[in-house]
This record gives sequence, structure tokens and C-alpha cells, in this order.
Amino acid sequence: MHNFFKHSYAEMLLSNGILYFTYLPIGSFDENVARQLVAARLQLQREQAYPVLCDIRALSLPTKKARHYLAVEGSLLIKAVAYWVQPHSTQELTRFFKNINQPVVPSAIFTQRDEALTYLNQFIHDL
Amino acid sequence: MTYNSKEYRLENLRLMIFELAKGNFSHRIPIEHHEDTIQDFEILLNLLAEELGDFFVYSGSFNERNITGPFVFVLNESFEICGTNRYFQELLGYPQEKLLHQALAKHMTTGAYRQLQEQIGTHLNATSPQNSLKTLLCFQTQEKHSLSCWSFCHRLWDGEDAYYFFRGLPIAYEHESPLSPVAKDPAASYTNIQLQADFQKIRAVHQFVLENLHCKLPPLHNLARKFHLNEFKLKTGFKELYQTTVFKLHLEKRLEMAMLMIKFTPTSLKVVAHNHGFKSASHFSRAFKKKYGKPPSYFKHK
Repeated sequence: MHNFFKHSYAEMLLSNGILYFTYLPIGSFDENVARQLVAARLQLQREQAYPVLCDIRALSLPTKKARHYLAVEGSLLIKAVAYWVQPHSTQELTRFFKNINQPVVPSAIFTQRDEALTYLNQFIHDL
Repeated sequence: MTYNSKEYRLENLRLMIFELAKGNFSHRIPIEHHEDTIQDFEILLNLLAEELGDFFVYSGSFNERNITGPFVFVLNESFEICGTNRYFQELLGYPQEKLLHQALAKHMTTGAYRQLQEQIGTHLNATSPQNSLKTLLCFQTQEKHSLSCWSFCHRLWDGEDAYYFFRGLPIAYEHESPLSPVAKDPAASYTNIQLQADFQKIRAVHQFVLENLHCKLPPLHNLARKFHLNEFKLKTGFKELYQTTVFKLHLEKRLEMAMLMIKFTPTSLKVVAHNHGFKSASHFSRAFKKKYGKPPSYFKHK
């Protein structure tokens, strides 16, 4: 079974019950990009839900439609998301996303990878 | 006050707040990648404008009636201007000879130019199926004002060379005073103030629907009671805000999520139906076929 997938917009790795999702720089992040990413992620996960460490430090601004798509359809087969951000741009973007677009799964924002993983550990064995 | 100085950027924030207060939700602040606190607010205000823009129609917005006419210009593959209309020359404040054969980069802000290059490279290259792109351009006028414009860019090909044809409208011209904002439907059955008061509750219902795509929703009167609304307000307000009903949204979203599971995972149709709150696989199949015109098995992941 595959545990790694590299897409032009992101890299995804399944390891120890966590999906490591790393965004690559994206020129124009529209709904079409969001759809491709969700499809690729579902194919990698097959039917298993995972907690996700989402490294968005390189992320550029997604459009409103892309944000709405990620908030709902992007939550499919996800137990919880820890957003790993860099201070300022991606941190503000994620705060806005979390408060206004309101993803439908538990989500939290971290600037430190270790803290993000500690948060996700509580979801690994959840059904 | 130099371009890119702190004062200039603070002035841009102020201008953005004024534009929002006037109901112009199409204005955007150019982002220049400074990674500082001012940029945090530049991003937040841009996002806010984008969100608010969906709830109101402003008569001075892009494509609305008080705009004089579109500007047009053409670029070659090196991003040099090789043709303009008179309106474009007037907007930028240059005669035609000062624009022709010049690099577009000289007339745009750095961030906007870089973004345009990336967008064209990604979406309008020779192999891309898409041949037009809606994009935000931010020009520097002859008077050193910043001028934001929406535009459509089309890729043209004459058999040897490619050209990029832009057609658009300014959205934030400092010297024009915009009209006041108007609600989406002036003949709406209840006033803006009442709508504002119930707005948060209706948004909470919307969120509740999205968080409960795996199960059946309670009847409308119970849902209204749960969110301290009366049934009529929930029904009318929800329709006005989201252009659909509570139950239609719930059904549509469940079917869209089910479609993703069917197309991209090996999950059985029975499990997909159950996980998305359908009574039975046959009930799910009927609803699915009504929306997509084909049974779920047609899209099954192989």
C-alpha cells in the first residue's frame, strides 16, 4: 500500500497514524487546485480517516471558493487538523480560515511542529 | 512618502477601511511579502472584503452600471505591451507612445506583476485546457497612484506567437465617489436591521448543517427553536443568505461528499449511503441519480 504521494501542489505522507500534508508554493490557489488536492488525499487515504499535520508555511492565499471547499469537502476522512504555520502571513490566513470559513473538524494552529504533533496524538486512536 | 514605506502601507490600510465603510468590497491592498504586522492586517482586510462582497451588491462594483467602459491592452510573450485602447491610456495617464513596446512590469506593482506571471504560467500556458483567466491587476499610474482593476485575460495564438489580451475595469479609482451600498434584494420581506440581528443565528444553522452531513437533520421547527429563531425567519433568512433551503443544502452537500467518496475511495456504496445519513442504499441511489443523472455505480472508484 502506498504511504507517500507527491503532487505539483503538495506532498502527503502517511506515517504512524498521522497524515503529513505539506503544501508546496502554489501560484494561484483556486477551487480547481483545492479539488485536485482533496481528490489526491482521498486516494492516498483510501477509506481510512486520519489526524492531519498540515504544513502550510509555504502556502499562498487561496481564493474564497477554495477556502470554502477546503472547509467542508476538505474535511472528508479527517479526524482533526493541526496547521503548522509561520508567524504573520500564514498564521493570519489560518486564523481567518478557522474563524470565518469554519472547518467542520477539530482544528488548531501551531508555530512549532512538536506541539502540533502532541495535539494530534489524542486523535490517533479515536474511531 | 515613498512607495513601500511604512506610511504608504498604513495609508493603504486606512484607504481600505474607508472603501469597506463606503461599501466598496472590490478594493484590495497589494501584498508585497514583508512578513510583518502590517502585512497581517493587509491580508485580513483583503479576506474580509472578499467575504463581505458575497453578501452585498454594490452598484459601483465590477461589471455594474456606473462604469464608463472597459480598458483593453495586449501583451506579447515577453510581457511587453503591444496594443492598448484609449481608455487604458487615460487610466494610466500616459500617451500611447509611452506605453507601446514597454514592459508591463514598469506599470504594475511588484507583487501584482509577480502574481500575474505565476497565474499565466500556471493557467494559460500552451498545454492548459483553460484559455481565459479572471485576475486582479494593480497598476502604478503616471501620478504614482495605485489603481486596482479586475480583468479577464485571454491567450491568443496566431500559429507562431502567443499574445495575452486583457479586458477589464477599474475597481478602486480614488477620485470617484462610490454610491452607497444596497442590500441584495431591496424588496426583501424584512429589513436589513432585523436581518443583521438574525444573521449570526442563521450562519450558525448553516454551520450546523455542514457539521451534520453524516446524519438526518431535525425538523425545521426544532432546528429553529434550537437556534432561537422562529421557523419563518429561519426559512426566509436562510434562503436570502444562501439562495437555497436548509434541507436542499443538506442533501446537496451530502451527495457531493458521497460523490468524492465514490470516485476516489474503494468504500462500498452501502457504507457511503449510511455514512452520509441516507435511510438505505436505494434511497441514496435515487437522490444521487436525480442530481447527477447517473447511478452511483457509474462513478465507482476502480
